[in-house]
Amino acid sequence: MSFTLTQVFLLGVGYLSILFACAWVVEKGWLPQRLVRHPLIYVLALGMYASAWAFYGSFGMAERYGYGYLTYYLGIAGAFVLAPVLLLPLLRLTRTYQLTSLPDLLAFRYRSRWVGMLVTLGLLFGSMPLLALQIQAIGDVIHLLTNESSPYHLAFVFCAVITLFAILFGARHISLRERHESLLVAIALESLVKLIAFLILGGITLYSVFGGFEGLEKWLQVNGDSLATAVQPLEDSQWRTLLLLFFATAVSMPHIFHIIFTENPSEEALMQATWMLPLFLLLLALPVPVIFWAHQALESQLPAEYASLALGGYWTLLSFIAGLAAASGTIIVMTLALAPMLLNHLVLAVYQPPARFDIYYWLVWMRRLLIASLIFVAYLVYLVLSVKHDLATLGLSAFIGTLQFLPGILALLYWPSANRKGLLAGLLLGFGTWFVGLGLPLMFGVQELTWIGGTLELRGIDDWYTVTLISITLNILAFISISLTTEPSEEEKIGAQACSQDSLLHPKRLQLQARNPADMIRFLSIPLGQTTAQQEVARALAELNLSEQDARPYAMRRLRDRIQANLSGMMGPAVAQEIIDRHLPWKTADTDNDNDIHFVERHLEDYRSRLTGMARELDKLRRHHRQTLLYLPVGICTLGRDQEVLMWNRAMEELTGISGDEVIGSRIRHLPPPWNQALDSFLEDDRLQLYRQPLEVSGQRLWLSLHKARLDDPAALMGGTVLLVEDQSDFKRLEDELIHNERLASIGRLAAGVAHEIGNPVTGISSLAQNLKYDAEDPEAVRETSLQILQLTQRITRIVQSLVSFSHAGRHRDVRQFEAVDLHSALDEAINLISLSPSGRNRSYQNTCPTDLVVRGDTQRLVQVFVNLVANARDATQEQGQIICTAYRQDQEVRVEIHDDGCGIPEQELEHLFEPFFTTKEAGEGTGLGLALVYSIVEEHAGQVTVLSPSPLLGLGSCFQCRFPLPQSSQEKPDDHESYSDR
Amino acid sequence: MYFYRLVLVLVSLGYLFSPWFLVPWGSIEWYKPFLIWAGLIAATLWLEQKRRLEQL
Repeated sequence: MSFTLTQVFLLGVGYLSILFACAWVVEKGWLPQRLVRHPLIYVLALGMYASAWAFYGSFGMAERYGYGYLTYYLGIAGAFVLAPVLLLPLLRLTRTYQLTSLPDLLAFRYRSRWVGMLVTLGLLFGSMPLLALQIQAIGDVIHLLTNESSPYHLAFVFCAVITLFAILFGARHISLRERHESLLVAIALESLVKLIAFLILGGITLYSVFGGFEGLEKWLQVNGDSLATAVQPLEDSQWRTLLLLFFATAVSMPHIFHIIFTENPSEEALMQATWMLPLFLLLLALPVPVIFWAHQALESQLPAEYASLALGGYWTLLSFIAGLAAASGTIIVMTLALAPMLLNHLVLAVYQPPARFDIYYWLVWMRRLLIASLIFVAYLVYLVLSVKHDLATLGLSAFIGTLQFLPGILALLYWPSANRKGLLAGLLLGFGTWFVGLGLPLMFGVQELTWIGGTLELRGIDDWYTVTLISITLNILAFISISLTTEPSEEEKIGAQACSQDSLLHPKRLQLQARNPADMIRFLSIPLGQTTAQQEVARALAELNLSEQDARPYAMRRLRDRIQANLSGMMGPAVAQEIIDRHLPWKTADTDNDNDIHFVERHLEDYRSRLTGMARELDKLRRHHRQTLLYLPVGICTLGRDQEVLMWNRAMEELTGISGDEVIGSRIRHLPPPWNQALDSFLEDDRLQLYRQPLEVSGQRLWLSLHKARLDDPAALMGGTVLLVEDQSDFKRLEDELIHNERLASIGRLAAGVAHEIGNPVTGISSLAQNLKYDAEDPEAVRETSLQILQLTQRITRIVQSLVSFSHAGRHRDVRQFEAVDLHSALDEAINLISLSPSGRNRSYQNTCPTDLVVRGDTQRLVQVFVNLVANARDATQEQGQIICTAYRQDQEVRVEIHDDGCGIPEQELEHLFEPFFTTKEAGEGTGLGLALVYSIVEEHAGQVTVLSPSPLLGLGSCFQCRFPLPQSSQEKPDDHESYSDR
Repeated sequence: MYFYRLVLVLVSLGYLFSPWFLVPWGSIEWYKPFLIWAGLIAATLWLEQKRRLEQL
């Protein structure tokens, strides 16, 4: 049955109009997103792989090789089954670095513009036969349906409609990474149409030609042998080679790459495709033998490739629609994939639009122009080749060409030592062999090449197996041998680390010349123009959720990476890298920079789900340790060698009121005051600990203990410093209360002695006053008596003053307000106070401290120390016991020692002496806080207290030794109240 | 990842031994290769479900 051209045209245009309508409905948002983003849509769109080759070419393959046609389906099905180890890592790479095509990916990995250009040219030449095949299929079917001798005009019209569709729905976005959902749904619809059409055709054929499965079985019993002898079954090695060939198409054919990676909605969708796509392909492959055998049974005169038309009648129109769906989908996606490659790796390599142009507008229109040009060139190729070769020949030669990229892609993931010299050499050899073996005979009809040594016969597609084997072997050998014998550049090593599955990229924490986002806009305006630069920086800031004011080095580095990735999505990685390297350069480092620990952590987080075994356990440990540090109730801040903040845990956030997100990645001196000064000065300080440092924060005084440690382990990822900040404000307040209470308790204990001491002079005064009335006549006696009274009152005054002075809690002084303390006087004061108590009498007190010896400190608190120590010595000694207070200078220290000849201290109690509430006294006699307070106060004075038993001076009893740092000026005299801060 | 390794082994074995599963072209058991293929799809589906459960 023959149809008119108009009928076929209307049918074809009608079908394409449905496609337009479908894409338009999605574009308008009339289809729910849940449906548009469903994994099934993605899988059906991947079904675009089943192009005209699958629909028509499979029959040609079946005629030649029998079941050999299955390799087309099984090969790519194998690639999808291996998605977790092949496609998923590639998907992550393309997403992370905004890579949209195979040349992008290889140019990014091998850091070479030449690689990008060569791969683009290889794909262009490799894809052209496949594109021409699609147009040829449409043209041939039109010819068979209409009996028109020249179907070229109608094929051209279909090409024009397809071009319009591709431009309208496939080249709308500026960024190549943005998905074209309308296009994807339309392509999915095409896959559905061809699947349903093929299954219907298979079913109809089975029942109308054979009368069902039983009829087919009977027919095969009769004709099976002749069918088997009519084909040339593939040898095992040929079968495997074809499997490999079609396996490679998943990553090497531009249209498949585009749908798998660029139009991918989620990783989950890809994982669903691991079984859904093979199932889809199985359903497509199943009707092929039935339809082919029906073609044989009907003794159709049609070429085997168009066996699906053998049924005749209106069923042929169904075959036409399915073929049109298969061909148009492939043409659209392939040109959409090829156009940006040509733009990024060929056009932009030789010409970049000036900054005054609207770059977005220019890029989109260039892409559209390239899409139209590609389809037109494919149409020209179809005109030239269609009369010479069948679909299977064209398709097979295209697949063999693109197979050459497989070694480079696999090495990208699993061989970090591979380099661009090896890749380029391998590709040149592989493509050279392919061109000589298949290109010359197919395109130019060359039958033999004459060499100096002889003649090389070229048999074209009949030699496909030999050509494939030789080309891929030469390719691999050259790739491996040159990669092993030459050194990769530093840039290539970085690319290898970024792509490799087994290693981690360790970028350095460098600082940019641009100090803030405004600087970046200024620098990028040179190549991109002011408006584009502003838009790109704003876009990157929004994607990273950063503020325009954020000038942290870490934020700047992230911003730079994001801008580069976004530009890469528009212009390809090579051009993007060139722009970024030239216009957003790093500062020249004075010292070795550390690794970017944030990047490493982010990468590990992304990689987490892929870790197994020991690596997974180690990662759990890493997370555990990180959580421990984050939630430790002590402030922790880790710094790189350049003082960039790398960690700021929760306790630091609570203490400072500064969130980690704000501060991580900034330098310590850029923290808000007063933390910048406090932490910076501590970092500059030689001391590793500072105890109880006061810090005024928002009108409130905090007491902080600071500790630091250097991280200098050469085996570690990086060096730096870790800071610990303890908030001891509450502890300090409690301690002050304790000291005050202890002081009051001491006064209470001294009260009886004081009363006694005051009572004696009062009694003396009373007696003298009584005698005075009798001596009233004698002026000399009155004078002498009044002098005695005066002396006695002075004694009372001294006692009262001592008590008042001791009981005075006083204002606590910080280290900057310390004064010079006369140790001799302080010890005298302590001895006087202790000797007031009843139990303090009948002891021998000696103060042998030199009168010129001073330390820096708080007099009141040091007297408290000596009172507690002398009181303990008193309690430890018997009546007439000896207590010696002495002090001397030694080793840049001032040492104060309180010796007694008392009972001494058992060795097992020595280590507990300074613990709070530890006491050896009877219950009710001691609080157990005295020595703990001594320890605390001496520590505040940057000193240390130790105890020796027996006393080295007396040979028995014990000795408490307090060591204080020598004042900076040993000439300082008491009452010199100049503070450190005043110097 | 252990599942992935299993898949890798299965695909490699399938690649090596798949020619052995083919029947002569025109045989009445022409559907056999498709049955084996369907079995492999079922195995892949099962492994995929296991992977999803493992990641939960």
